[in-house]
Amino acid sequence: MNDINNIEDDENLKGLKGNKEPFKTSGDYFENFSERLQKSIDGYEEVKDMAPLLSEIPKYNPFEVPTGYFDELPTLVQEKCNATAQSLNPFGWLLVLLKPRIVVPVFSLLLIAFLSILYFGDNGMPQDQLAEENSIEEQLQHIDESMIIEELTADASSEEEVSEEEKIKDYLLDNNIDLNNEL
Amino acid sequence: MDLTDKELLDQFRNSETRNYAFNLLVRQYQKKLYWHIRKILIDHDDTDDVLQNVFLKVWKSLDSFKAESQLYTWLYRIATNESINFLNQKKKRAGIPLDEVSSFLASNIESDQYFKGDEIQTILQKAILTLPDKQRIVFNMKYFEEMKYEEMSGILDTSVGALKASYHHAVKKIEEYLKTR
Repeated sequence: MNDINNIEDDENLKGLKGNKEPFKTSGDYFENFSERLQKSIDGYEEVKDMAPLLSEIPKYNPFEVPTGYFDELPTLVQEKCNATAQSLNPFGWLLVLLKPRIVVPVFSLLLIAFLSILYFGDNGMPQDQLAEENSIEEQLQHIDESMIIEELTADASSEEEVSEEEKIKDYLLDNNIDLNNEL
Repeated sequence: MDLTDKELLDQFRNSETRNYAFNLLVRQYQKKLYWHIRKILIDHDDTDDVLQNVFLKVWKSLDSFKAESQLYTWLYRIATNESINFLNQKKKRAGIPLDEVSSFLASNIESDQYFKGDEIQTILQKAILTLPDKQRIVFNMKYFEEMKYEEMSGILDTSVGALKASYHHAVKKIEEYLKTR
């Protein structure tokens, strides 16, 4: 029964009904037949004296593959290759970036980063202020220390004098004293 | 219908027929390369991984293939190198000492759902697995694939004399193994 089914399913039989010889061979079977046969004979001759046990073992492939494996493999390989081709495309990353949901936030961030660098520089301080501070520091390096102390002390005493004068003025105003009249 | 190497390459280099030509190439060589790799790695899933990587590499570098050697020699060479690399990495990952590699692969045969050999075939496969990797490759190519030494020489980059010696050593070792069973 199985043999009958096999015959009905045999691809080599389809379309040949009514022909004298209903079977056909695949590809170049007869073209290479004698060459293949000779190879087998040579292989057997080479081994038979050296390894009689080995040469007695029937030579066939005991391994199998899952059903339909070789039918599906070309498609799988092609898909893998196409996926790799896309990832290798030098403009692929550009196409991804050009999507609006990515391009807007990315561009905004880049703009903010650019402006920040432009304005704050390295220390996160405005460039003008930074330049000013640098020039003060440079000037201080050229001035003698005693002069600086003297200058600071003088400033402090004049400030004290000013504050004393202010107190007197406040006192006179608070007590409604007119100095012109008193004198 | 199988195309010649030149026809395949010409079509591959044309962007309009590139995918078609590559599909033909895969169909033309997939079985030969699969069985070549499978004999080295034994396990079907490992073979499938390596075979797909082989074709991926071929696809990437076929443009630069110079027809100094035959296409199938070049394909076999890639497949052999990829298989040996894969096997070495697998040994490293699994921490298998070199002298236990054969028993490791032999256990793969016993548990392989796609191995349909009888008892004597199992013994033969185990005998083959006792050979060093490169000698095993030489034996399989000569004994099962019935390749000529000259063809093997191009693939394995080894002289014909060295290949003959390697094959004869392998046959003797296998015969010795079979005698003990």
